[in-house]
Amino acid sequence: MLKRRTLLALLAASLALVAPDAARADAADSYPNRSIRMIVPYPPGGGGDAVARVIAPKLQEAFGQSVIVDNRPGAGASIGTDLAAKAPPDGYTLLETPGAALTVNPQLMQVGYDPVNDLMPVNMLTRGIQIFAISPTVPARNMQEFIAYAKANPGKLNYGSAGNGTITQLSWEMLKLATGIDIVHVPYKGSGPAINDLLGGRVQGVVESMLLPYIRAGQMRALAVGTEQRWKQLPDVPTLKESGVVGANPSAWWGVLAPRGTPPAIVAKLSAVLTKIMHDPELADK
Amino acid sequence: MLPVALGPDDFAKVIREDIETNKVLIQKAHITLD
Repeated sequence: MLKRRTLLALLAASLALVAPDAARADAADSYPNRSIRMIVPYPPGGGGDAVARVIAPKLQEAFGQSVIVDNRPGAGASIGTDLAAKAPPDGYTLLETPGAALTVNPQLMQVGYDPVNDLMPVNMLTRGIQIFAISPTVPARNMQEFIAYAKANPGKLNYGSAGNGTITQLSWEMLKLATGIDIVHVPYKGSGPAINDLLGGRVQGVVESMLLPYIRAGQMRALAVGTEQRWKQLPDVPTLKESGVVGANPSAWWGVLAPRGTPPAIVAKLSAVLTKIMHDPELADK
Repeated sequence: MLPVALGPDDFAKVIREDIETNKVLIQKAHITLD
């Protein structure tokens, strides 16, 4: 009798140990079975938003479930990032963000999340091609002319950033440090509004990845790209290094993260699908 | 964009490295929220 009881207890204990793993595996197998919310901590119109709107329909197609882009801008992306970090860790709330929300602004301001411990990296989708661009009203055709013009007019030019504590601010501040120019920072709640104000003549400079349509339409003038090599989409635009500027191109990227505690099997499933999506050659031309 | 598609472990490494690199850049460029 004792032996039978012991055996039953051991069996129950084994089942208790196995059950959570089995449940997690089931959750990953059936994932996703409802719509996924993809929080973008910036308003529409900037790079992070553009990347989300490229991948969301492809994710939707791969999973057969809706993927809803949810823009939650403000406080240098910390509002949307905080929201994602505190969401239920079930794979149905994701964060698609540029790096600064994790690697810059937590160092400048009090945020409600720990960038390493409260979020799980899923997939670093893409590196950004930081394009320094100015309004065509500024009498400068390239970076060297811009630097000379800014030095002749200290404090009179300004640049619009995606907000305090963003890579766009860091990029311009590194340019200022490297060249000794004095231009004024105007923070926005994302690159979209900054771009709109450059088009409206209220700021003279921006740095962003998704500027190609404006440059091709002659609404902006590209001065330099912050990559090691020239970008094939703008072959006539030199790199910062070719323009004589060294040390003004911080690491810029966009990635997808999930709240800490999301089942690893779901993270792995998401990452595999995102990797497949990002290997689509058409994305390199965006 | 320059697609890279790094998986969770490599992505975590980039985040950790960028936090350290940007800490230095922020100090060098005297970036504050003032």
